[in-house]
Amino acid sequence: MLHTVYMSGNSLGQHGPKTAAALAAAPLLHTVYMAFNDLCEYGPETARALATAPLLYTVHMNGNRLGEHGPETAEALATALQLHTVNMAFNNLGQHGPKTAAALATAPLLHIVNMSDNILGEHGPETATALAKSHTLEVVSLEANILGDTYRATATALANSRSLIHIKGNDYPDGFESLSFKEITYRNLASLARFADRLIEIKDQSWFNKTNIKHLGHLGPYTKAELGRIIIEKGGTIPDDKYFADHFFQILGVCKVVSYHDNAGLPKTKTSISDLPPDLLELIGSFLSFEDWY
Amino acid sequence: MRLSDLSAEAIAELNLLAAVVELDIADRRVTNSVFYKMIRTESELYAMHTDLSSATMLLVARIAATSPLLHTVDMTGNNLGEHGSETAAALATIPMLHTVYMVSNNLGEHGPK
Repeated sequence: MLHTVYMSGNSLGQHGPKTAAALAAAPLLHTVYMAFNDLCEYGPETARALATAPLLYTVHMNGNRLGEHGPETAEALATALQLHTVNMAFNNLGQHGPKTAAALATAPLLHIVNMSDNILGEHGPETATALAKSHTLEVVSLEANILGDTYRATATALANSRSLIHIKGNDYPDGFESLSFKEITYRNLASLARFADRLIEIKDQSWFNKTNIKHLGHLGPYTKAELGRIIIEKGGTIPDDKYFADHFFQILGVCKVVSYHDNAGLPKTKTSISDLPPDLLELIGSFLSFEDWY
Repeated sequence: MRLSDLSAEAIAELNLLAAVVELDIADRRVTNSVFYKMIRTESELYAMHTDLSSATMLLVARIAATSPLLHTVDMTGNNLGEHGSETAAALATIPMLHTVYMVSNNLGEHGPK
């Protein structure tokens, strides 16, 4: 049954590989936290051991001072065919960032990469270019990397990704978050349109599970608005489940949660659809009861 | 449930039981304990940063292992060290267990076991 293990902060060091091998023997293991364990040169061997877990999905190896061992560690992790999320933050990667990123980008199902706080500096653009080569990557965090003047080149490189829908990074004086969302999102409209297509075409409504809805919630305000517009424009449909529809529309920013006081004076909240275009209202009306909405 | 929610009496009971050498987990003193009765119906056990001894934590793990519904155990920050392996072995017998937190336990060389 064991599928998730948190082993962070245990000074495993040279014992990392054996610990990882023991964990990987659990047939259903999919999530492992091995952060802050002083793995250093034992990173690659630890990663190789973890990658033998057939269902490995999420690996956190942040804060292990991997440095020059980053690329080899990433290479090993990328052999895990189901790998979805990798956290390599705070590993002193620096000049080894690009090779680490290139290795990670070869993972066939990689969706989320955190390479924050790795003093990438001038290696930011090359790292971003390597990550952008992935065809599946949707979320990248490059926060706190002292990008300085290379910020714009890094952002542009990420914007050229075919799949990326969310980029985090806030070490630019103007705020990477606000600036990049305006610039990158609009440079990335083609990706967004493809994402909207996917949302519309997916017949299996199980895609709209909590995790994916949460991922949508990570989208920036401009992206949300644009995504909503594209979906409506394309005549898309939303699952006929009130819970998900509720969240979905909140995420798209076409409705909001409003606070009010009930008759007893107690604070309450409810969802409010406001300023909806008629076509969207019609779309919602096709599967939702309006009893709980106003 | 959170271990910290147990009363002082219930914790004292666990400490006393932990001092009994080779205590059988089916012993009436265990099955009558407050913690044993409470853990039977719990699906999650949070026992983080307790100031209990590793012997008591091991007993907690052994009793928890008899719980039919338990699926998540958090033993973060208990300095288990060399007792980590015994504790893990006890936890590994929990039939429904799927998530384990063993963060910050100074496991080091005891990590593999």
